Amino acid sequence: MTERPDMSVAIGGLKLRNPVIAASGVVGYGVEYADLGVLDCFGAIVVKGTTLAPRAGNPPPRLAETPSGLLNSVGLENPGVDAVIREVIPRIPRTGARIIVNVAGATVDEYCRVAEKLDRVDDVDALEINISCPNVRTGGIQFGTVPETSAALVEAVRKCTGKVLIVKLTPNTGSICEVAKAVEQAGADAVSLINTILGMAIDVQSRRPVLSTVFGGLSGPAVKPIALRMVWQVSNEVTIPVVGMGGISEANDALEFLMAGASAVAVGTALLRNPRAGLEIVRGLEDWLVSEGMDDIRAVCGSAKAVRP
Amino acid sequence: MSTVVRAAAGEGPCGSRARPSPALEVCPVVSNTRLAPATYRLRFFSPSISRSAIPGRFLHIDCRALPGARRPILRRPFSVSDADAGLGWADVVYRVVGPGTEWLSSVGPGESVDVLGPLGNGFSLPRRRGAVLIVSGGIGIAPLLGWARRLTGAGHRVHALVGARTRDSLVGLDYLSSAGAATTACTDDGSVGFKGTVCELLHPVLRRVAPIQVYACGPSPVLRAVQSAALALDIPCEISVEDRIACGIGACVGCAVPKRHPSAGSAYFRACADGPVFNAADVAIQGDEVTPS
Repeated sequence: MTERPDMSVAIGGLKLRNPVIAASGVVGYGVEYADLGVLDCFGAIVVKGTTLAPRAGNPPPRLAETPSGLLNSVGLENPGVDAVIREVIPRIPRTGARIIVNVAGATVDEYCRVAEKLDRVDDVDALEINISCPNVRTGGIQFGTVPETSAALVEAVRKCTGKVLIVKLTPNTGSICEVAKAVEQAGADAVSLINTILGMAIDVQSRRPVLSTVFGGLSGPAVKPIALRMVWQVSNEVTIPVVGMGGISEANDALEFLMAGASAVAVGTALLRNPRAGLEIVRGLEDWLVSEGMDDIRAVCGSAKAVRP
Repeated sequence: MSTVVRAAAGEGPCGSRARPSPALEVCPVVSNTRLAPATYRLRFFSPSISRSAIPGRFLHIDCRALPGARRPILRRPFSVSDADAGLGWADVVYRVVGPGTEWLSSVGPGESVDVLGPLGNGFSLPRRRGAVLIVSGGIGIAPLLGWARRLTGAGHRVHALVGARTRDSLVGLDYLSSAGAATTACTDDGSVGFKGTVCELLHPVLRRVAPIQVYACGPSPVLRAVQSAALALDIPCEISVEDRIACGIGACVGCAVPKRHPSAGSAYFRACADGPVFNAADVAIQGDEVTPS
């Protein structure tokens, strides 16, 4: 009875020691959170959205707190892929967590050139193709809302890299299932969802929008029921693994996403208040399996669908 | 405070010394003293945090909420007001402005606070001895209290120009006087000291004190006035900015502070990791005071 359950999962050809991933954006390039000693627990970390050229990002304010949620409009601030490869990736502590780089761009060509460069970096285990950033004017979400453009982008990137390709989907579309099916057809190894939901906040004293960009992406517990519904729907429509995220703050949230059909889950906004959230979720999942007499986390995946009402 | 390395002007953040990793610690509350109707001083015990808690650095506290109130989604950043490494305590001085600080004001001895920190850079000492001016508006006084004590301890003559709306929000005068700082107070309504803002007294005080260095913390109009005066008179000046801060450790880049001299692809500092204290020559002060919650 002292044996711990098997927590390992596979995302395409990529084996993770456990299904808990640190979501893109919040953990930056991993270096800062590693200093706190709270990254060691993850199955993988997804480092910040990386573009071909450096991006300064959007003007402040970039953050607004909302009921159980957080709006951000960072706008893909990053030093560009060359600096990321040269200066950042070598500094990411290797803790046993897989390193996934989130790739963003304004054109198909830009995504392809970033993917080509990252393809040659041994320390990068997989790419997450961001076709869903709501905070940039061109690219990003423009690809991700239409199945055809999503597929064309993924097909082009697929030709540039042999690494595992995870495609990050936007909830800001009426056709997330169609986009998911299209990118599966185009060669994606997995899909991750959801990116943030477009929202806004107004400061009633100044009578102005809080964010400099007016709109921003909403994350946190407020979006969890929507994310969970989309993970349920998308996992019905595709055969590739689904990485579920959106408001996951504790082990029980992670279990919901796994039961809805996710093979792995990502934690983002929760880490801001509770940097220990990743560790607590990994332990909580293990403890839950033990308490249920289960020995393999994979048995949880989609298990809520087995019971028909 | 044995080694203080000042960043050269124009080269970015102040006090960019090697920093120990921050602690993530549940700390016992020593006291939580009401200084004014909505202003408190929280003292907690943490030898590891107190060791590197230089005023101007900040502590990211997980604020809960009182029953019926909404718990904030983010931690709340508070300037280190003062700390004693020998006794193992650190202080934050804060104003109650929303559910998070409302909860914090209810915490007392026997309870604890979840603290991430110290974070950011903190003020740095002047390179030579002389007269030093500190300028604060409102709760911006917080980091300057302990900093005044350290400045006088290091042999500097400290003059404080302290502003607040009314008598009820003016705190720290006793602290400054026991630190040996000469203080000029002003209030918007004239209930204490000069009737008006620190901006109005800034130039006369600068002429009278002739400081070799200025430190400032407060709302944007105060920071802007101090910045432009210090730049015009070519006096080294460090300002502590207030911002919305999410991760607090430089990862999420939510707390962008515009550079005065932006370059392509690099237009912003991170308040949390590059600041919150900046050389006045390096940052563009924007906007009105952030409305915290």
